Amino acid sequence: MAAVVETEALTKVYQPGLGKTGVLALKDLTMSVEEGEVFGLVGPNGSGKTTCLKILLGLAYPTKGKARLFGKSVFDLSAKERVGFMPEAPYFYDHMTGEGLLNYFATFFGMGRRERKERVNELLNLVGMHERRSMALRYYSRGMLQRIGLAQALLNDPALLILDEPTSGLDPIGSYQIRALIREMKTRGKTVLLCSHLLGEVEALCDRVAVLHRGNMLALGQMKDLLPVSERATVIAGRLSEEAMAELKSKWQVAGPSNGMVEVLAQNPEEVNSIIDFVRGHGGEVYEIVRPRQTLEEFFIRAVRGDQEAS
Amino acid sequence: MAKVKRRAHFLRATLAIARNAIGEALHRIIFQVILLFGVLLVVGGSFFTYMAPAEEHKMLTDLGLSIIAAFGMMLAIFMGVMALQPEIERRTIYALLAKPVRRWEFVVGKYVGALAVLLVSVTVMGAVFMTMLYVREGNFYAEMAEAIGTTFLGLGVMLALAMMISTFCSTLITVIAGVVLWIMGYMQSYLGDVFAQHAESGLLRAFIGVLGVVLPNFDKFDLRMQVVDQVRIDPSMVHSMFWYGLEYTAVVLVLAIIFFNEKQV
Amino acid sequence: MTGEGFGRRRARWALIAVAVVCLAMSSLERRAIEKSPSYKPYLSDVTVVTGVGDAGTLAILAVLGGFRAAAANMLWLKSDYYWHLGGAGWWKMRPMFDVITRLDPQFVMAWRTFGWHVAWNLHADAAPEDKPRYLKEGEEIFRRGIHANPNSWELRMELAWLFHDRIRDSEKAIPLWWDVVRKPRAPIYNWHMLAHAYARTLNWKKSAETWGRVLKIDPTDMVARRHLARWRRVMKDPALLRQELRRVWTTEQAIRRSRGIPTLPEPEILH
Repeated sequence: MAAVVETEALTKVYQPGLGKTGVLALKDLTMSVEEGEVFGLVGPNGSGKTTCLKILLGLAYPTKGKARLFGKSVFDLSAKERVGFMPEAPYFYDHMTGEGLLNYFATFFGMGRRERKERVNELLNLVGMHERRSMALRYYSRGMLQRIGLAQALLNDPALLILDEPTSGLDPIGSYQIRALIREMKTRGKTVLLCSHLLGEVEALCDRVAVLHRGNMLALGQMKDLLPVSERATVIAGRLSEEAMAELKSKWQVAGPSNGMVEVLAQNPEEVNSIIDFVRGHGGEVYEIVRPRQTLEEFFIRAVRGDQEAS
Repeated sequence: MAKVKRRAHFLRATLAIARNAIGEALHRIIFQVILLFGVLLVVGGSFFTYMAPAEEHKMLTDLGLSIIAAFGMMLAIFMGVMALQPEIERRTIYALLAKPVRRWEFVVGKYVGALAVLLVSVTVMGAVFMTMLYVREGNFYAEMAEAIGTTFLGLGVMLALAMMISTFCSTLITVIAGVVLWIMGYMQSYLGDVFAQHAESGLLRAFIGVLGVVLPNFDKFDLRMQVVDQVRIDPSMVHSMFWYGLEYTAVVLVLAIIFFNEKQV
Repeated sequence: MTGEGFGRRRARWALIAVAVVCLAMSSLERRAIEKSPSYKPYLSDVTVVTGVGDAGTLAILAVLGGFRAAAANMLWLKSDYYWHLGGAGWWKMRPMFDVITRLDPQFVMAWRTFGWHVAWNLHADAAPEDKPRYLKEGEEIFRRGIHANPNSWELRMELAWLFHDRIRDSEKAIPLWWDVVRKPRAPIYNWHMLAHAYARTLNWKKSAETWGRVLKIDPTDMVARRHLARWRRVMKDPALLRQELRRVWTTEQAIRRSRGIPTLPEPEILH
């Protein structure tokens, strides 16, 4: 599969003014987003995520390095034709209505009147803003603006969808709908580049993730590689006799009993099987096997702290 | 799902941006206030004359055309300032420039939209003024329309200048620069005649000459004196005014595009 | 440099080239405007505004920019207030008119009123030893106004009238009346004044000739017809002619005496 987004040693230094030292926003960022994947870009404030997005969208210029969309320069309009962008905390033209805004943006994709009307209706329904279509944007709540922001990003049925904090300001139902939409995009073969502070969301949706901190990339990889499932497991069992319980405790590390259940810690998959066999052999019941996994949040905090200590 | 085309023709994109700019401007309170004050002053100014008929005509004409020029300039500066900078500050530009829109289409579209609003404003003030003249004197003066038209050319230049300056300066600096250019633009023949003739060094004269080329000559768009003195206006002069305005505006817009192209939003 | 950067630089240079070409063309158009016969720049002649050499005033003029004419009108209205005030108000009008004519050198009425006010009103109000100064100043004002408004017959008329009526120097008035009548829009009565000026210098032939020209312009002019008939009647008889010339002469000397202007020695033609 061809890379949809590519950066090669992408560096950005902002010059605040004459005689002042430049501010490093991105340093030697090399990454790629493959076609059809959902890619997460995470990092604390000031890590360079927004700068990276701005460069990809041609809103800012790199100091060094390259960025490409669909193998073309980011300034090539034919690349932009296939991109949909939802900015963070979108702010649009106060005087326009939701429908008017979508119509306005649709013009830039060369859509005819009928086509525009169909597409706008479709999207308003998709984001649940059909009833508020004629309301001026100045009266929209934050969540409503998010929805319209998403709708305008989907106008051209983009092959690449870039979302900057897409669920910010949305209620749980709205967030759920956005996540469902992202999953749908993926099943339809679209590529999604997701920037979010909500690490749980990134963990749930993304195939791969890049962690940025102070312009540097700390980690890049598949979710399963970055957050490996541990070999250790906890077997939760119950309905064991006192003798069986005593034997269990002598063989393995046990916590409990509590409410008639015990937690037995296994160091590897073989021990898990041994414990299961023991419990069942002594007439007990295995309720659950829990495999602890490091969350993205834990990984993120460790990575950022590690970088802070190193610097 | 509807089939999506790729990209709009540059004219269509530019006109769409222009239409949006018109909508934005018309909804801004400050635009409405400036226009209202302009119209009120044009009407009110006609009550400040109480001289002999020939003098009264001069008063009315001078005052009316001056108010239209002054308020037109204020509107041009204000609209130039509001064209680009707020889009960047409020980040409405992100969603737009992420679309297949060229930056020059954005700048030109904004200019065309603002110019259209300026045209409507000048037309409203001009219509009120000419109606007042008709009510007071019973005559319709077609040459007033010509004077207002050439004033509008100057306003188009100021609008482009304000937009260009706003691409690299803050709102306040742009307004100040606009006012300074307004004054210097009207001083051009004064600079050329008085200073240049009295300048001791050739270098100073050359510098003044360069200033005359580089700075806008707003006095070249001014037909007020000719209208008041009832001097026959040579059509070729009006023709030259039009082309001067168009060419100078093109220079400024090109610079605005260059600066905006380099701008990191 | 990356390919993208090079492409952008090329586009930038192309735009700069377009800007330079447009600037050059706009400069040519600007020159064309300045050369046009109907172009009227503000403060077109340095002598108009640097007559007094007041740099401070010039700075104010510059700042006023495009509002010069409107500011001049406001001051013009204010000057009416001082006129009705009289006394010291009359003297306040003098600097006010000065500013008005600097602000708006094409404000012909302001020049006319300025010169008249100085040469007539201030002259009348001034001490005897100061009076000649105000006549001179009035003359200068009219000349400056003419310089700023070369097509104005009104200002030339005011200057001619100053010499004809106020100063009573008909020799100097005659060429000035000729300046007036040569202007396309000057009314016919200026020809009358020219004829009268010739009569005052006792050049009866030229006076009659002038009345004849008036009749050619307007055959219905009864004033011209009357005066021409009178000259034709008296020139047939030398005694009558001398009598008429003496009448004109003595009337003029009487007016001069009443206004405190020195009388002139009697010319040979009257003997």
